[in-house]
Amino acid sequence: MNPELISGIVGFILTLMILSYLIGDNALFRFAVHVFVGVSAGYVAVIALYQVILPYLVVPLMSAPMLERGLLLIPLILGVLMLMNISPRLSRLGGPAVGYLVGAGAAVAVGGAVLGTILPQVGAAAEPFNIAALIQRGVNPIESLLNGAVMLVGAVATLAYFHFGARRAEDGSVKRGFLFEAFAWLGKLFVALTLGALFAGVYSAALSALVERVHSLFSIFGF
Amino acid sequence: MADQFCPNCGMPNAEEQEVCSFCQQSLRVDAGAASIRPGETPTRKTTAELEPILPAWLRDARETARRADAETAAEEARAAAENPAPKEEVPDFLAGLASAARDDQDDELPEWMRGAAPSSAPAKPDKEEQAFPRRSEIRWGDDQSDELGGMATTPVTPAPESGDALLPWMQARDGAASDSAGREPSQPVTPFLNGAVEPPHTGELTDWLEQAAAQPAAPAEPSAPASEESLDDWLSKLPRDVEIPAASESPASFDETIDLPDWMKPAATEEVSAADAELPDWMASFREQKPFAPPEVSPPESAEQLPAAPAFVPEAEPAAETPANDLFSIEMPDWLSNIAPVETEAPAADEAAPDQPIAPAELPSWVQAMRPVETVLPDAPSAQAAVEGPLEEAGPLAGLRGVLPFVGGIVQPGKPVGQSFRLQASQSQQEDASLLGQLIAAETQPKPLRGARLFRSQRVLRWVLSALLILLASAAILGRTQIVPLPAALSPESVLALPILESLPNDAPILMIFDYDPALSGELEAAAAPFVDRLLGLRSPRVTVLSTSPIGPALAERFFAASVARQNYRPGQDYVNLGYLPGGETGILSFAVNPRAALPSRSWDAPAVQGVSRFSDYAAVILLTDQAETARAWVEQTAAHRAGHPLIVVASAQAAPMIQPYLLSRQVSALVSGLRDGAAFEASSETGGPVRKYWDAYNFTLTLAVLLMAFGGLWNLIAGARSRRGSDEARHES
Repeated sequence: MNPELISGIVGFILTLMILSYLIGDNALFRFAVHVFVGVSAGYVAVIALYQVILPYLVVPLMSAPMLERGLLLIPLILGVLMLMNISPRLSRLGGPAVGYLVGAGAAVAVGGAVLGTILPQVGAAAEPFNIAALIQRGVNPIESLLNGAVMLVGAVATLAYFHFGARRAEDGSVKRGFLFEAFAWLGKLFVALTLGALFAGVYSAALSALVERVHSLFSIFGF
Repeated sequence: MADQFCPNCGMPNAEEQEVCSFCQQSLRVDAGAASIRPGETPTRKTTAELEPILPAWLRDARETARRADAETAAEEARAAAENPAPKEEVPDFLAGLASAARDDQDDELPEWMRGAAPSSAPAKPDKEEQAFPRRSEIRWGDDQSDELGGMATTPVTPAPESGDALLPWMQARDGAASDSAGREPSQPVTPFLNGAVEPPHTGELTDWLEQAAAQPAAPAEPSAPASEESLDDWLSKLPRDVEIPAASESPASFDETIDLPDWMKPAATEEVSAADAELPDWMASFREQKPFAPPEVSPPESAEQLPAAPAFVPEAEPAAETPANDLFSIEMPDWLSNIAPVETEAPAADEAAPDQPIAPAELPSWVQAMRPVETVLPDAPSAQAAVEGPLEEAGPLAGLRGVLPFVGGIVQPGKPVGQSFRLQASQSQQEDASLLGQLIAAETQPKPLRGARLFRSQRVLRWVLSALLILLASAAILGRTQIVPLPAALSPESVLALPILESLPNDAPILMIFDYDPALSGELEAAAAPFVDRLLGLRSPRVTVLSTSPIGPALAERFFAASVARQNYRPGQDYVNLGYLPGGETGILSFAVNPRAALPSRSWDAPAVQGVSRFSDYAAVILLTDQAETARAWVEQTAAHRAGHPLIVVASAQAAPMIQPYLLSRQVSALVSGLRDGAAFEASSETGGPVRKYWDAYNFTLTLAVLLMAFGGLWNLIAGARSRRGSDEARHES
């Protein structure tokens, strides 16, 4: 039997099991989910062994120069300490390794966010208001200004919507200021539009997946 | 026979001995230091100069003794003036028996000696139990045997164990007694002379009596001549009803310096004049000595000058009236005397001012800080009024009400006493607390369950909508419809990729990153396939494939094998799959810094990656992702290492809105998103592709979904309007 046909039949059956969730939680759906989780875990384990442990640790320890082997003892020890998290009694020993991972990851993420997102995005938000540069680039400045104004108002209004500071009025009620209230209302509108756009993208992606799955089901039978 | 006797114990010792073999005391006694013997005149010694060196307690004791003696002498003199005793009829040596019997040492006397006490009246009427107990039982002159029995009870000094040995002072008179043995009339009257009475066989008593009989009569005042056989006469002279004054009442006649036996010292306190006639010769010497003059002791001016008395000495009872108290007051150590003033002053203070309130104690600051706030704040009467009971005004409990029970005898155990502690909270805090209480109360209130009809309708609605979408998609796929045309133009985001494709050199190394999940592989493959197919067919780049997802390398292989199979790209030759890049953002940064070190693999030797040692060696980076976070990570970590080379992102439709800002900031060179951009690239390339197979089904289902959402929104709007109208009508009617 053609392996592609076998994989196609298995895929077809698993797809029907997943689609059975439309009638509610059932054993077929849970079976398909468990199979997916198990296969994924096994696959990830194989990938980790053959593409991480062996090429990054074992092979260098066996063939690399002595200096490099000595340096590799550090990740080896940290990796062994990481395994101590399996035992609740010895999980404390895995703290240094976890700390090292969290610290290094946080440093990389913060540095990348500041230099790769915040500063460039602040510059991009101010760029529509640089009329000289727009004229130099041959862009209509009025359109750019309008776009920039919309983005600026949207950003400020969204920030105002998530500002929860308020003052207590004389009658005891707690209300935000009029200006904050107006920007918050406008920000709520921008937030709703953004979530609508995200939902439309998610729904579009889901429909694309559904159509692809239906097409794959019929393709097995030659349609 | 011994040549010398011990001055201490009187036992005979050899002449050459210097130390007594019985008591181990020195036999060579200084004449001045020797104790006085009977018949010798004691020399009064002045010891006043030694008073200052005595201990305080001893000085106090001596002072007390002197004062007691003075008072006793005064009382005795007064009593003697009122009731003069018949001096002629009482033998002076028997008079001491009365004082001995009056002493508290009555229990120590032998039974046979108690009847000899002639005392007829107690010294103190209020202490009759201390008087001589056998006085009424004595029948003087009626029966000889009884009388002798009474004589036999005369106390004697403890005899040495040798028994028959005479005391030294008696032996010294031995010769004189033998010389005067024939002078019967001059002998003192004694009941043992005629042999009618057998003295008790104590040995010592017999010798002592014989010695006393041998003593010469008193030369000064010879008594009336008594016949030798007149024992009854002698006894008849004994006082019958005469009260013998107590020994303690006549201390002036006794000199403490006389070395007499202890039991005879009280006898010496009798008035000497009462028995001058019958006084034996050996005791007559006592009469020659100067009577003891009681020192004139002035009464103390104040209570502070009184010596300290033991605590157990009754304050009301004078010490002079009780000889036992004299002894105790003398022999008490100073530590007992020091206790006495403290214990004797306290009850005096209580008696002086019984109604005086307890002085308020000085509370430390930390105790005052612990007192209730109500006591500090004068304007907080609510807490005080809330608790019933007396208000404490003094002491540590000052300010507390109802803490102590005000009824002395009735206490109900187990009944809690209300405290006046109350939490000090402001009004806003109380409002917050009440609001929190309302929230908690609302959580505990039961909520009506959602109706089963509504739940069933939602499930049916879900089944109906799912069936519509699946049926519509199936119909479009099975019908192979191509009703909906492909987009004629690229989107503004994806059109930016065309100049990049045009600018890429041929056979340039490019990096393709497959970071999406299998669930969205249909969309991603449909969106990326036309663009990648155009790229591969136009520039034939050498492709390096990697992924930060473990599933990515497999999806890449599937992509090259199916989606772009028309380009016939061969692994290792035309493209290299480096596999999984671990570490997340750290791995991305590491790969951007040093690709070969970050992802060690033999694939680096393949022709597809020849000349690639740095990240900037890649002519373009194409990212296929379904998550905005993945795109952000690649944008952030590789921006400084791309060296201006383009980054094209092929994203799912759900991640495209979040990647748009990076496109506007030109951190992302081009963005191809969703099935629509894939269809546009497919339409522009005119090569056909998978998008055409899905495009009608996708548009039909998308249109149906839009219609359903619009219908649902309209339904909710109408239902809401009807609900509001119904509520308005109901309110209007009501």
